[in-house]
Parts: sequence; structure tokens; C-alpha cells
Amino acid sequence: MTGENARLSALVSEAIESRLSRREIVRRGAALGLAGSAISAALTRIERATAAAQDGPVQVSIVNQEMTRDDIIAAIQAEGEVNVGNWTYTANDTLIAQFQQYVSDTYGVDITLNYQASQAPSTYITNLYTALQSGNPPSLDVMAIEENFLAEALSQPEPVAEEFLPSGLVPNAERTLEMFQQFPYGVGFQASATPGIVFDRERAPFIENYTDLADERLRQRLTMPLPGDITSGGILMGIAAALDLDYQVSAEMTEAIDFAIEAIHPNVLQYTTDSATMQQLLRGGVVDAVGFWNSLARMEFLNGQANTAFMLAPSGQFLANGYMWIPKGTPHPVLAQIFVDWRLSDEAQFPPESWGLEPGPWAELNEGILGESYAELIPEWFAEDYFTYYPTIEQLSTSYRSVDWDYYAEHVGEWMDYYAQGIGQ
Amino acid sequence: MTHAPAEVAIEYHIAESEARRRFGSPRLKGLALLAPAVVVAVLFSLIPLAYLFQVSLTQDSSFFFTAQYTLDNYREVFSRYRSAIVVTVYLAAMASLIDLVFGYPFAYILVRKIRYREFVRTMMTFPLFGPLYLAFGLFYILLPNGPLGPLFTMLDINVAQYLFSQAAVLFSMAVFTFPFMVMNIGAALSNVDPMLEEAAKTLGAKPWQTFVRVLFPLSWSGIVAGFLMCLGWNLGVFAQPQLLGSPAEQAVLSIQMFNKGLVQFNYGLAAALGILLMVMAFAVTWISLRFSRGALGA
Repeated sequence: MTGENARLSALVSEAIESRLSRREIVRRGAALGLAGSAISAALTRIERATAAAQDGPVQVSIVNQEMTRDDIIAAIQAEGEVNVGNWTYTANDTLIAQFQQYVSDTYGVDITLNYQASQAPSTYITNLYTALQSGNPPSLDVMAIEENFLAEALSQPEPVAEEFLPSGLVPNAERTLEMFQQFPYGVGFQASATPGIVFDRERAPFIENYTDLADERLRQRLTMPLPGDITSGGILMGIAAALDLDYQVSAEMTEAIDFAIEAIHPNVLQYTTDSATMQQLLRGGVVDAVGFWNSLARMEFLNGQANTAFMLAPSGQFLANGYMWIPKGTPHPVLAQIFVDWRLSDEAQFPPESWGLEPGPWAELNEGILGESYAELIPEWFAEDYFTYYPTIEQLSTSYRSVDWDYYAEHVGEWMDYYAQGIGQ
Repeated sequence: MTHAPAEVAIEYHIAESEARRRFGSPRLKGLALLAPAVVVAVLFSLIPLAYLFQVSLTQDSSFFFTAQYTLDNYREVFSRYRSAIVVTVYLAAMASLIDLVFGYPFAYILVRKIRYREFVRTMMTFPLFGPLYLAFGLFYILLPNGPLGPLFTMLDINVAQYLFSQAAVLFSMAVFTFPFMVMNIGAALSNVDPMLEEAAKTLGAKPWQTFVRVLFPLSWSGIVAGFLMCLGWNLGVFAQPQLLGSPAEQAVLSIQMFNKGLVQFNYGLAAALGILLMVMAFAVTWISLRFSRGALGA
């Protein structure tokens, strides 16, 4: 913990214990040598902890109990840890530290957040099925992965996800737009995640739509995701839309995949879903475009790679946001719900300066505006450019397209099989 | 005090009878000592393998569906994945061949010439820490903005063509398995009496004749064992083609297996690919052990 963080925590504890007024907190913070932003972060934490302390009993899902604050604290103490499966964010360590701090500040209990990070979260699903089939509890308490995996899980003949929404422990879920609410199973924590093409504007200015990926100027200067997961699924649907084809018509989707095999594949230098590899290849000028997610363009731009941009296809982008859901039989149901709520909180959606994140990692965690109440949280340093890199709430329903995930889950196997075979995989 | 042979035999017989009375027959005692290892092998190796084989015979296998047994997965493996099998075996064989070409002289120098042998041996085992480190290391070295980038630019070399190429994959595979080759050949060479080389030289043999007529035949078991061991390891290669390969090298069986099972949830086909890979590795290991007599002291 840094010196400032330690002083900030001390201020929060002192303020809660001594019931300091707002003015006293500011004075005490200044006396401790804290910066204005740190005092502001302390005020937020204190407010939250005080609110939690004053709240009456709430109905808690999964455990199906009305719980008082003392009950919740006892449950947190008994659970002691929570296991979350997510992606490999640069800021994962910060997320862990901040959530643990949040639980400590709000409930006065020290817990452990075990954060699993993978660029191939499909393995979480296999592990979950294995655990449930063998009668063991799931190893992850919260799945924070793409929406298609939730659809895949819900398509199983046996229940693999808890019905937990709405829940008194997850009030923030109700702040999200209806399009992000998959109640009772899950809730979106990203608003604008979409697979697509990230490219160098200077080296490949001709890239405007997916069909341009067949351009000869991209020969051996393009990476595409390995066939299989939603990254390649989203891009294939994008290719279909660019060719004016409907992914929900089998013959038309086959035509789109044929285009990917015959016209785009010859340009592919490598198939990869490793973002670090793609970053290095783009920065090193080895490739001009990569098939990945829009977040990479934002992160690279904010990291000083001014020419890196995301191709917003005029034919439409398919949204594939991350959703949080709780696997059946989780051993840590209370902390799991607290994590889901916290991930939708103001500070986890729009990390404050006190988190100490650089703009790049910040933009990795912030994936747009989940609902009206979040709009006012856009930080000043990014206010001017924010909507250049993120859609407005209105654009979410106009420029972006949603996916029929049930149809997707049913057909993605055939698509990927055909695609993989076509490119020799 | 000394004993006459007859007295020793009687004493031995008495002691053996006593041991037999206490522990039963030596055969039973041997079996009892083997039991823990057998139990562990059955529980953690044979049962999972049997389950893997069962899954490989199912279609649309999910952990929650009732299995429908079929041989379709194996049909698909030997039709659609024939080229993947060829690529896998080709890469493994070529990498092992590279190991042999460079490993033999290295082993010879290590056994006959080097003073700080242990230090060199320790350095040589570094690649065994992991193929992933090796592949990432090579990846960053070959990047245009990597440490050798300016050199490549100066020499006007298009690095990308080496970065994702068969050459890069083969090189990193060979580096990873190099210690296996050197250890096996080294063990065989250390059993060859240096006097034989001296004798050949005294009788007028040229160095290459000494190698062909003396060293090579006498270290043959080490060469075969080393080659097959490298081949066995390389058959399951994953990280190097994944990170350094072009789409052609990315077709190896282990990557296919990962994609089928853990990305596309086709557990049956992935299990069938796994069984094939395992049979290939088992065959190679078995042959390797057969030929390693002498080299490994078995």
C-alpha cells in the first residue's frame, strides 16, 4: 500500500469510527497531507460505508434470506473470499486491491478476492460443467465474461447459473439500461464492447469496412482471431453484415464465411487472440490491422499510439458485452453479489484518480455508459474526447446491433467448424 | 572372523526363512511395496485415460447430455485432420533432427573436451524451464521494435517473415528439446572408452572414419533414444506454433485439440485428437525405452 493510500484508509476508518462531519473530514484529510482527489475519494468511501450501516434489512438472493447489516457482515466473515473469472486486464491488481478495500471500508471485514484472468474464458465454462457434473462446488463465484457464454450456460439441460436478480445486495444492477439486464441470471458490466478491426490509420487508411480486409495491400499484414470464440464469431457476423447478408440465414452465413476463407485468409499473417502480441505487432509495424475488440484501439490511443483506431463498420457492429453471472452452487453467494454490485458502482465503472490508473488501463476498465445515471461520471480529463471513443446511449441502439444469443449458441459450432476447416485448422 | 561357504549358506537360509515367516514371500513383499504406486497410477492416470477414451467415443458430448456412442470422431480425425497429423509429425521430426545435428557434436565436446562440465550442463538445462518462455523470448527478439530490430532493419531483413514462420517454430522447438538429445547421446558417449578412439587414430583412421566406424555405432542407442525422446516431446508442441507459427504451423494437433475442446466445446472430437496424440507419444516413448538400453542404463 502506498503512503497516500495508507493515510486515506486511516482517514476513512477514523471518520467512520468518530462519526466526523464532512467539513471535519476535509480538514483532517488536509492535515494528513492528502490531495483534493484523495479526500474526495475518502468522502465517497465514507458515504458508502455510512449508507450501508444505516440501511435496514435487505432481501438477499441465493441464500433467500432477509439479512440485516450484522447478518451480512457475519456471512462475509464466514465466506472470507470470492473468486471471479474475468479477462487479463492491465489493471487487475488494482481491481483486486480496490474491491478488498471496499469490503473492508464498508463492512469492516478483510476478505480475499481471487481474480482469474484469461483471454480464453471458455475454459471457465468447461471447468464449471466439470465441477457441477462431479457434484463439486464451482471454482468461480462470479463469471464476468462475454454474453454468449451466459447464453451457452443457460442452454444446458441442467441449471448452471443462479437466479439472483433483482437482489437487495445488488441495487446497482437496476441502474443499468434494460438492454443490459438479463434478470434473473445476469447483468452487463460493459456497454459498448464489440469485436472488430483495430488498425493503423496511417499505414492502412483504406480500411473502412470488413470487406476491405480482402485488399491485397494487407497481404500478410493482418492478424485474425482463432476460430472458435466470440471474438471471431463477432467478426464473422460483421463480415456478413458488410456483405449485406444475414447471419441468421444459414446459406448467407456460409457465404460470409466463404468470403473470410477465400478473400481474407490469404492476407492473414497469424491467428491470435493475445492482445499483448497484437499490440507489439501493431506498434512494431509488422501488421497494419488486427481482428480483436474495440477496447484495444482505445487503450493504444490513450497510450500514445495516435494512429491506432477502431473501424466502426458502417454496416453495423455487433455488441458482445461482458455479463456478470453467478454459477449454480457457489460457496460464496453473499460476496459474489457484493462484487457484482461493486463492479457496477460509480467508482468501478469510472475509476477515480485515487486509483492511480493511467489513461490506457482506465479505458480498458471503462466500457461505456451502462445507464443514464452514469453519464455524469465522465471524468474531466476525458470529457472532450469521450464520445469519440465511446457511443452515446442513443448510438448504442442505432450504430450497434445486438445479437440473438440463443441463435448464436445454437449455430456457432457449425460456423466455427466450417471456418476452421476452410483455413486449415 | 571368517565363515566357510556352507556355514554362510545355512545362516542365509535361516535368515531368509525368518524374513519369510515375518513378511510372507518376497514376491508378496514386492507387490505390497508396488501397491501405492499402482494405486496412484490407476487413480490418477488410467481412470482419467479410460474416461478420455469414453468421451472420445461420444458425439455432441456435453457434461450434461446422455452420451451417444459413435466412431465418427475417429473417422473425422483420420480424414479431416490427416494434414494436421502430417504437420505435427513433420515439425516434431525436423526439430528432433536439428537437435541431433547440433546435439551430437555438443555432447561429444561436453563428454570429452570441456573442463567446467557441470556448469555447462546446468546452463544447457535452461530451455527445460518452459517452451512458453522460449517462444515469448524469440518473439520479442524478432520484433522490429525488439532488441535486434535495428540490426534487422540495417540488414534490410523483413522480420515478419521469420517471426511467424516454420523456421522460427522449428528453432524454438529444437532449443527446447536440445537438452534431451545431448543428455542421451552424452550418456552413450561416456560409455565409449576413449582408448578406442586412440586405437583407431593409432591405426591410421581419419577423424571421420573414427566417427563412422567407432563412435557412431557405439553411441547408436543414445542417438535413437535421444531422437525418439525429442520426437515424443515435440509431438505435443503447443506454445511455439501458437506464438511463432503461421497459420500452417498453427494446425498442429495440440492446438486443434485445445480449440475443439476448450473453445468450441466439442469435447468428443477433442478427446479423440488427444487419444491419437497420446498413442503417438506412447509409441515413441516405448520405442525410445527399448532402444535406450545402455544409454539410460536400463
